[in-house]
Amino acid sequence: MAMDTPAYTLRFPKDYDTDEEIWKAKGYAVVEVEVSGPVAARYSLTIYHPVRLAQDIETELAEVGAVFAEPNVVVVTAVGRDEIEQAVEVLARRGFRGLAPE
Amino acid sequence: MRRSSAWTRPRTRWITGGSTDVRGHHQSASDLRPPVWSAVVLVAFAVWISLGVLAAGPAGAATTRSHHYGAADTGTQQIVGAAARVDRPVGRSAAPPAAASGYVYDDTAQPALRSAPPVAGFLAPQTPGGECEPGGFWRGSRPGQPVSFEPMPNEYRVDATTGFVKPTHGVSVFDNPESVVSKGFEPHRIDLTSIPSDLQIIQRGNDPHHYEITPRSGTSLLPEEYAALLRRIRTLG
Repeated sequence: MAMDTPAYTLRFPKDYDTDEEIWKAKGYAVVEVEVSGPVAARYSLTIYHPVRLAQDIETELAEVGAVFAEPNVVVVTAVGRDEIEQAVEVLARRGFRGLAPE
Repeated sequence: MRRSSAWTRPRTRWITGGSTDVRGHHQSASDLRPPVWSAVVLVAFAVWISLGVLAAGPAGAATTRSHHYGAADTGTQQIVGAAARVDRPVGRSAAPPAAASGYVYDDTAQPALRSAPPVAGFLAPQTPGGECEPGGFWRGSRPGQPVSFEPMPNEYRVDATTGFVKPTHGVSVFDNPESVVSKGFEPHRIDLTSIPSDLQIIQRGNDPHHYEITPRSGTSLLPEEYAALLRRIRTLG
């Protein structure tokens, strides 16, 4: 049985439009997703480029605390608006299952 | 008539693997007597080994270097900063290390300024007058706006346990002004001498020219302390 895609609002970081290239270079961005309707919830997603994710995992394990644990990590090919929107749409079609609401 | 034996014939007649004997009969390599054939094999083997060793020498060394720095291709971290603690031979550069540790100490640069070696434009010294030499780091500002090192929201991470800023994230800089311009910002060259010792510059992300100024590993900086240190950074010109 097909699941209805819940209505949601995707919020990018402040000034993301002007800073998009910077976030793409950084390789990560934090976006907010607010789902409305019967499954209303709010999610904070950390969008990662694979290279950046690997770097952060390595540093966390070596220099911070022997564990990398971060909720709602989403990995995309580039941390651009289009890629993020597409990724969130995919997550929406899955009903945002597996993500931790705030 | 005295028969000529293969053993007594001039050696040069046999190392070709076949020749004409004194009687005008052609002899193939299979006709050669075992001692001579063995010698030929031994000589060929020795030559082969020698060539192999010669070829493997530089190639082997390159492989070692590649492996040494290969780890950096997947888990990159290049560190520079006043008193930056450098304890891992990592970096994107595939260039050979200048020292066994994989790091060099650059006396021509700022005190305690270290980096992974020969990364182009990574650690060029600044002249007292701040003339633009190759290398260095640039921070961008919006056109017409003064440069600022105030972090954006989510531009640094705080350890939930300790409350200290993690060394994983920080404000963005680039190792060349063109990268800054291409993203729509005005470049400002950073005065590396103004970087507090509790901060470091590390490569982050898929863009090898992108770096972030983060707390140095092992420091304990609260968010406001981190922001205060960032505000001490100056730009040249």
